[in-house]
Amino acid sequence: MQPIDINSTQTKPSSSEKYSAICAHDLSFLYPDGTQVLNKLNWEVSAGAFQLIVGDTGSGKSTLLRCLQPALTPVGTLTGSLSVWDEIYTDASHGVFNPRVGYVSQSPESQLVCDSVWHELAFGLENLGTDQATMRKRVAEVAHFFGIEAWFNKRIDELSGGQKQIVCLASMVALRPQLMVLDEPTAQLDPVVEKNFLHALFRINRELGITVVVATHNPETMVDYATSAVRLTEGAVVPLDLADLKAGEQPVLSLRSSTQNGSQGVGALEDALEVVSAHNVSVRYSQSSSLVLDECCISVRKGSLHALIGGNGAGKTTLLKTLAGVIKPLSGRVKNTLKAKQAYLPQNPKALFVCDSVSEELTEWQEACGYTFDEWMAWAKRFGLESQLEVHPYDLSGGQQQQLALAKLLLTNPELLLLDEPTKGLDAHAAAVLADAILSYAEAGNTVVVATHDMTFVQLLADQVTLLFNGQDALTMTPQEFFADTIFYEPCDNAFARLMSGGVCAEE
Amino acid sequence: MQRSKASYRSKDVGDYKHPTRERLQSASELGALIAVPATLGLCAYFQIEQSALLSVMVALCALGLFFAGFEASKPHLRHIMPIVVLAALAAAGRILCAPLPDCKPVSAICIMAGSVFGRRSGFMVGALAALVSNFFFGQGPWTPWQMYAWGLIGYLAGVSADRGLLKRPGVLYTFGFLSALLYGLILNGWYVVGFVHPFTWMGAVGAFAAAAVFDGVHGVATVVFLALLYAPWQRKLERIKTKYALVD
Amino acid sequence: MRFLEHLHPLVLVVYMAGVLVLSMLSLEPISIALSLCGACSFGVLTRGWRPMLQFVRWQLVCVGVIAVANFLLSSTGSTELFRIGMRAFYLESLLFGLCMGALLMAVMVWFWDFASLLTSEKVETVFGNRAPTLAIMISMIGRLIPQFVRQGHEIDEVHQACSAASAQRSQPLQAQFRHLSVLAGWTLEDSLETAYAMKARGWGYAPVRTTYKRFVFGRTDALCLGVVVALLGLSGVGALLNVSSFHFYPVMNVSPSMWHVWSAVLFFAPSFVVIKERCACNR
Repeated sequence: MQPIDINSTQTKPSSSEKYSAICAHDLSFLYPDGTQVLNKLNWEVSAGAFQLIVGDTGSGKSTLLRCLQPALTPVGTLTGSLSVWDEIYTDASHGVFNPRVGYVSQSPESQLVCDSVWHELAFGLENLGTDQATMRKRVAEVAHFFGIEAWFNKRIDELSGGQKQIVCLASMVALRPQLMVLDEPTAQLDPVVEKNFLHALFRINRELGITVVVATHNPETMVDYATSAVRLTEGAVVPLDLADLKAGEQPVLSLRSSTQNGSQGVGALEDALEVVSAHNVSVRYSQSSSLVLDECCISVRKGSLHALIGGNGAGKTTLLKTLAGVIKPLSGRVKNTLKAKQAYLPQNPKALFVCDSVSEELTEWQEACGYTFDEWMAWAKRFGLESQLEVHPYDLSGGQQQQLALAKLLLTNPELLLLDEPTKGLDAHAAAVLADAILSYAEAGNTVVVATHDMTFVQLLADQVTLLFNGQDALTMTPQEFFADTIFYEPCDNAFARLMSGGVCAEE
Repeated sequence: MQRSKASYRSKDVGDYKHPTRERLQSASELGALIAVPATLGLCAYFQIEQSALLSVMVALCALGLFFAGFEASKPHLRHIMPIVVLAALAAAGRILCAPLPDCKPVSAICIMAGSVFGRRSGFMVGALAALVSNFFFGQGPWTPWQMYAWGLIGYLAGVSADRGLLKRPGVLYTFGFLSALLYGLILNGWYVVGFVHPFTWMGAVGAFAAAAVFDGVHGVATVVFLALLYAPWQRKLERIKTKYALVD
Repeated sequence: MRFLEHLHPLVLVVYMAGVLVLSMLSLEPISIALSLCGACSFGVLTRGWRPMLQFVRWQLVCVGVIAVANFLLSSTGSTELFRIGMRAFYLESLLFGLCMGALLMAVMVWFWDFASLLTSEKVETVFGNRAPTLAIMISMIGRLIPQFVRQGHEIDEVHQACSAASAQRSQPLQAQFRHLSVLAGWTLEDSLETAYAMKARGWGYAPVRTTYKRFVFGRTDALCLGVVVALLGLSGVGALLNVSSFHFYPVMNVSPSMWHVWSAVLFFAPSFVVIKERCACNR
């Protein structure tokens, strides 16, 4: 590999240069355990492009992206040729960091290294041994470009999720890469924050001329920024038409039986018993902090699927935990008649995993709850986990982790299910399998309260929506009433909606 | 073009070192660790008035020697990350268990770190956990002593695990209890030797007896932590160790 | 305070270390009293009376214990106060105990004073260039601790909220330990991703890691450092020479001399800076 003087590399390729950023020919990748993920793949990305890569979980998107940065290439056997810019990757380049390639992954939380924003921005430059003057200049430049100056001196701990992901991107851009590779960068972000992040990404593509390659299972939101798209399927790259990735025009229809029966069903819900409620509840986390919930009210009827929506920091999670009785409110009354028979699915399923294998995880509460072998095996089969019973839960994909967690909870036979962002970061198929399980659970007459940003999920499954704003319940109505007159909150006819309407249960 | 990337690279966690250098480093580490209690003892014996200053200087030098050795070894991520996470876990555990006085999981975590990742990692976990958690609890003259004491516990755990001593639960729990007492001895030792003059053995015994209740609680807590956490954590640590072998 | 906050951390570290060493080296009532007064006055000026008193309240107990312990345990001295049986109790041994207690208290108060000034970031700046790997490790641990505490609470809450699985409520202590294990597994797993993120940003690429200098060592810093070192030198030499001549037992011989003046200037310098700043503001 040629030694690269990164201080002299030009960030903006001049317009006359018309070479490709990535050129892969007959590229195959074989993991040590014999799994072949890339199979004689041919792929070319032109300089200055903004390319989307879609593909199912396990299609090898991450492996392909990691091959672009030799420092991250997984252990395994790579055959064929791969070159990034004019640099041909060889055996010698394996494991050697290529400063011209930037890489950002999914979780903003675990990607950050240092304890403060300034240090995070400087971290990469410190690693490259950049001298003081250059380092100051680069850090100042990116801080200015991304508008980070206002929180430059803050501790990472004080930032929101969206700010953290911007810091990840900025700290990568400080190294002046010419190719930016991102693996599901917005999966953990809520819709508004996602837009901000994509806008920043768009700017580095168009204003700085950095070639961008993004792997995503949510292409609808990114398609307006992209210049091209490909699908990774069966280890090969297939070009896609951008228009095909746009959200459909079909209206998204509710799948709840209660609402499909027309007004009669809704009336029945109003007559149903109130099982969980909060009355003028106020919550704050410490004496000095401001109120997260401020005189908030909610009433959940038996057998309903009640959705809590609202921006980041509107207090959705806090309300869920207050209803569950694990956060004591400052004032107000909380009534929960199902408090002894509830289950709670946290945003990150890792908080629930205690054991070292899927089967141990599924049988953890067998003795206490008295379910049978057939019951938990049925769940394992439903979620396609029966071949992975001996696998460590952490080695499952994000979607399967979420499904395992839900199976573990539903096995305890709860009558009230509290869900915090169940479909966040999942690909359409995993989300549909999960949503289908939630739907059949709710249809059996159980009560569900779900905090979510996923409007499609709300429209499909919910029969009550509460919009939280500024710590209060701004309004409560049916999804049909709610979505009839909104401009921003809108269900989207995406792959998830199509899978759900097409009946994923039949497919399973 | 057909080529294959160097595959199946699996590395030992303990990297190859020149045997003489390694022996030299081990000897100097041992010397530094022994120098600290030796100084305390000599200060007490010769009734040196500046013993508070002298002994803290020796402790700082011992810590400096370990840190310099670690820095000079050009550690890989597979060495760095477990130390960082375990030190942060120990410190977070110290905060989470703060309502219960003297029920610190730090000693237990240092012992587990030392037994899985080796004596040097054990020392680093203890020393760094004490240093950084004190940015939250408040720094004080006790900081170098806590760093030294917890580092020493991790180091001794690593040495004992190398000899295969910690496999038997009975030995492990005894080790846990004694290491908590050692911690108390070192921390109280500085106050007694440094600030009570002229030093009398009777006085020292009295002072240690007064602190014995706290050290006993700490010891019992450490044993409980080890009894309940050692097996599950060891599985988790071994798993992450094999995963890190593939990272770097 | 602004002035001190903007001073280069090196000056603060040298000052702090110097003051502590000087106090512990001299071991002589006047010097210790000056150190204690300097520390307390700075504490009162920067944090106010009430927190200072609250902090000192606990320290006073400590001083008392050390003084009494010394008084009871060591029967050395010349001025006999009283006698119980064969055992004599001397004034010198009480004074020595009080001095030692005051010294310990002064050390504590100095640390307390500087806690808000010398943040972990500033400490890293001073030692970071020497040990870049350790500096980044300390920075990482500092970031992880609050995150782990939050995750720990999250795990507790989630398991508490899953009441349908009634098993865990029966043994709350064991459940707590399980949660600690969950936290360990979770955080160790996430650290893998952090490790990859570090490699993605060129960890280990350059043979020598540099460190971003947030604080520039300017002329004011050089001047302050010069003054601090000079004062430290003058009072340090005086204290060293005094070590051999001063003694508590059998008779205490206290004699004020010139180096006390230097050390007084040193101990009260931060208070002086703060007062001067306040005056400038009020004008």
